[in-house]
Amino acid sequence: MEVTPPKTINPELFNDYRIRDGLLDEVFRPSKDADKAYKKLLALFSLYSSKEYGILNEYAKKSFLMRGITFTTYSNNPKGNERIFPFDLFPRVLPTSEWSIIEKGLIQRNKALNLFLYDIYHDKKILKDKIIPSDLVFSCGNLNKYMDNFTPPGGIYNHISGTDVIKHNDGNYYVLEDNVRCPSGVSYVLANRETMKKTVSNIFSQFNISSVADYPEALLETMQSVRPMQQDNAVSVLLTPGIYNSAFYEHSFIAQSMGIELVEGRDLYVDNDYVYMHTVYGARKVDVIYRRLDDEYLDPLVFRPDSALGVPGLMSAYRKGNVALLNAVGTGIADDKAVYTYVPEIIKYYLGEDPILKNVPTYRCDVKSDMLFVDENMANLVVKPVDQSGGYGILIGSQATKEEIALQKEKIKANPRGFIAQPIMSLSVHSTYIEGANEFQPRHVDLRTFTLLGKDKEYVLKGGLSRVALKEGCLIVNSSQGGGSKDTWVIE
Amino acid sequence: MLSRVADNLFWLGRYLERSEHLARYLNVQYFSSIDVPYPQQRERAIVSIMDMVGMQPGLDHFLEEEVLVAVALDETNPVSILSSTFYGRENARSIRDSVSTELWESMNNYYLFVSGYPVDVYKTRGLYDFTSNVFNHCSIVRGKIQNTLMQDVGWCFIQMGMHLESAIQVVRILLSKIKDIETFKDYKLGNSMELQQWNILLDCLEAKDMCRKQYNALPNRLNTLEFLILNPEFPRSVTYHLTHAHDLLKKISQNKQFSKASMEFKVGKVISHLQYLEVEEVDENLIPFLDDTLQKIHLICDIIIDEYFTY
Repeated sequence: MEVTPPKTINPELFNDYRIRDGLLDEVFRPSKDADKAYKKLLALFSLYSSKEYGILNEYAKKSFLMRGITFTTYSNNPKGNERIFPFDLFPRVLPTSEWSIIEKGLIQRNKALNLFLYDIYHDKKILKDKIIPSDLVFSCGNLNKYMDNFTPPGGIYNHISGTDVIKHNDGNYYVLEDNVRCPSGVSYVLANRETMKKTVSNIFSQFNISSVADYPEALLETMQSVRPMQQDNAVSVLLTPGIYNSAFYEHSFIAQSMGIELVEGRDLYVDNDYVYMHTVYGARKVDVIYRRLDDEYLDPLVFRPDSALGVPGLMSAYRKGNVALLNAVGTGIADDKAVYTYVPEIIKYYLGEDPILKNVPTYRCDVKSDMLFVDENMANLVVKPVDQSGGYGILIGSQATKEEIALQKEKIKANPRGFIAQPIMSLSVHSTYIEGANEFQPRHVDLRTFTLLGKDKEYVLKGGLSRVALKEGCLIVNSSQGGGSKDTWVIE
Repeated sequence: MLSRVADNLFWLGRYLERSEHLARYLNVQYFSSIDVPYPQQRERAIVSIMDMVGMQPGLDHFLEEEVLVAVALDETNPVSILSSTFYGRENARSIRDSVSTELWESMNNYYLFVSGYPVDVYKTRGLYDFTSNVFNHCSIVRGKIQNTLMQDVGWCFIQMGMHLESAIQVVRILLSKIKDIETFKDYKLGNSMELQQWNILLDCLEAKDMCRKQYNALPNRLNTLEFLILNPEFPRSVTYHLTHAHDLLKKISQNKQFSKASMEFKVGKVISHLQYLEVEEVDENLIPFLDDTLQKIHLICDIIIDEYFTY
């Protein structure tokens, strides 16, 4: 059944929707007309009364709880506080015309980062050619000496990349940061999609939406493509820190959807440089490990000796080429936020191409002129530590107190290499249902994308995870900071 | 099958059965005690509930409400229904990728029901509602175990956990109830009062109708004991559970490359002993026999844990 959009946007849910000056609203134009990509969607959502929509919203929340799609924090309760990741039923639409540019840009960028990682751990040509200052790379805490002169199976380092993209006031997409260690969030993309189908099936069926269901298959193919010695019947597993990790749901979901074993460090052991798992019938060899464990916990024999989560001897088996790890060890050098500033040069250097996706302009505090600028303009900048993820340690100048700014300046002076600064980018806003107010209001969003690189294989998940900062005016969208998410539809 | 996964499956089965037996004992004991004209019996029922779950009944005075809450909804009591469902659900959660989504969700919903049950409703008027919902949730979870899993070695471990835990719980229920009955003898309340207690014992295991049918007679001491301990066909008798546990063990071990003779021998010994017993022999020395059986079942559990769950 085709629904003819009414001429005006109905009532209730969008009645008091405020268009905010100076921000790009993806759904409404400044005139309060709907953007053309959203006309039909808004018409369909406007069929709901505020009360009906409230019930749907509750239903969606309950379905996450019942299915156990939750994350648990153990800070003040040993049995854990279990929470659902807030989910907004109003989807974000990316027209294929815009998406295809993003997709090309992501593949270009992540391939270049892979070549960069290979180079840094081998000939270091990019440093010799003085494209990037050597100091910058050698001072990175995530540079891993165990990777020197070692080529991981298939020559792939960043098999899974979670690139964060934003849409700016000027209507262009920018890369906000790269995540090439253990990017998370993909399970929510798939879970959100399921919830959408069940909750608003009447709306969902009106659109031709690119599927996201092929991700597990693509990931499994990526894993198999880098199996050691290209042997048949290679065994792939997913290594999790265990049920007390806040992302455990994601780990078990991904393992289950690929049909591979979910293992903990204690399930694995290394014998004669091969990795095995303990089964009820004895040992079984493991060939490919998608590990959701940080480098420093992987092997207590070479990294943190107190790690009970890792596998003693794993690095030795890895270096012998007897097991593949996704992602490779030592990839943190490529998502360092100071290295980020050189990614456009990295793309040009290795691929000879102009970057398709732009970087956000970034000031590096270890460059004198940049440092002076940051010092004088901190109130208008976002300051980020170079080696953190999850939105931790970020200072937003416009929202910080004088004391916080003074403290931040001290920190930068003590460790200039440790920080970068960016102009406060006006992330676009998106219509988001606000509980309590029982209506839609604009909230900032970004987009966590997922790119896979295997041996002779590349894949980008169509859409990704649109993350929403639920607090009004807030720019930090990370779930660890109280952010929510939306289903993201790539449609014609 | 990873050893850790097998371990978690085994305990999932155990916690599932434990929670249901606790709820059933609680339900039957409580409701059978409220319409009896002897005040001691009400108190005795509460003591018996405490005894069955392993709480210390030695205290002179206790509040009935407190005991009822402690058994069902106290998260600090490791053997409460709430704790059993919490641990069972943690077992399921840690291996949710290895079982069906349907099984995981049914166990998750079971836990969410128990943990969300309001304590004040429960202790004033909700005991029946709470316990019957527990039975229903357990039936659903059990149905998902039967119908949505491969009946492979992992399934054998769940079933084994279920049978062994059930055997433990049946023996515990027998022990508690028989202590009750001995106490009533001291009160000299008459034969009909004692017969009533055998009915209650059978109700605790949903066994009354089948027992009456089996013997074409009303329950008495000997037929009740024979039915619950030795009957090979009633699915809640001790013998039934242990025979099935033994069969499962054989099924699990047959793929083993090395001989497991000693382990099966030990388990087989416990079972075969039961198969050739007569109820009169059991009754001669009832409490020591039950204590001894309980110990042997725990020993079987330990052997399995040593053999299969090292990682």
